[in-house]
Amino acid sequence: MANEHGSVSQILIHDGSSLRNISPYVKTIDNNQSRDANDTTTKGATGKTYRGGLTDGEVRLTGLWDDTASVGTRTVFATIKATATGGIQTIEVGMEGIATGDIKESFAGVLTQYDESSPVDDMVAFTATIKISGAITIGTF
Amino acid sequence: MAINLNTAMDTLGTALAGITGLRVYDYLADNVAVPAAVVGLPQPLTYDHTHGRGTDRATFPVYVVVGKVSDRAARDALAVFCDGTAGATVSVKAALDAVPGCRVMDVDFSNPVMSIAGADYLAATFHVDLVA
Repeated sequence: MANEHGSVSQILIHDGSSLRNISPYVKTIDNNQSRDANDTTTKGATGKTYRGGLTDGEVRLTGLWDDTASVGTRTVFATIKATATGGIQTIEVGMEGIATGDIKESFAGVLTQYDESSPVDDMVAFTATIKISGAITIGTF
Repeated sequence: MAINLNTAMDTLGTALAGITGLRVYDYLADNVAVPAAVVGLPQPLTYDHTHGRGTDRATFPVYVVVGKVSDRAARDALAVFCDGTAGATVSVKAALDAVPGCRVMDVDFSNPVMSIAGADYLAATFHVDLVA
């Protein structure tokens, strides 16, 4: 086991046609996951008890706006936004990279937020929030 | 993507070569014929601007030097290349801003006299931001 520098992390997003590796245009990948804690406390208890419930989570991305055909961030997210539901059938996150054997977290999601910003003195940028839908599958690339 | 130093300096040099009357050196030349633009080494070249070795970011100095024939004539000659509103055949900013991922951030006159091969020239230093 070893730690990893963030520069190796990658993310692939299915745009409805193919799985697209948008990592070359992404600067941060935040993968936030949670689980409900349902209260099971009953009378006589001296401390609250809980049982784990449903999982939840979202992935937040920031990076460069890029209109490269097929794999640019603007291109991919415009395709997803144009769908009726903003649904994404597959997202794959590799925090240590996507080489064979690297840990892969895959899940479906919904694009819930997409923002673009254009500061006069820096690159045109984007941020995107994808709500994780359903279970997360942990495997390897 | 990701910056190849040779390719980046060649690309900046090619863009500058479109400026009328400006001699271009896409390397740190020991001697120049003025008016000249010299593309310097990046300060710095930062790796991993995005994930997956997608892009790097670098700040290139571009030195523009003109002969000090007279104080006013030298200033006037340098000012032409520093004009931020002129087109790409006149202005360093216009020529380099046309390169994808490139922006001329500022021009610095803190070292107004540059000595090259024993001769003094009036100089401007452009700082060029490249993301590629």
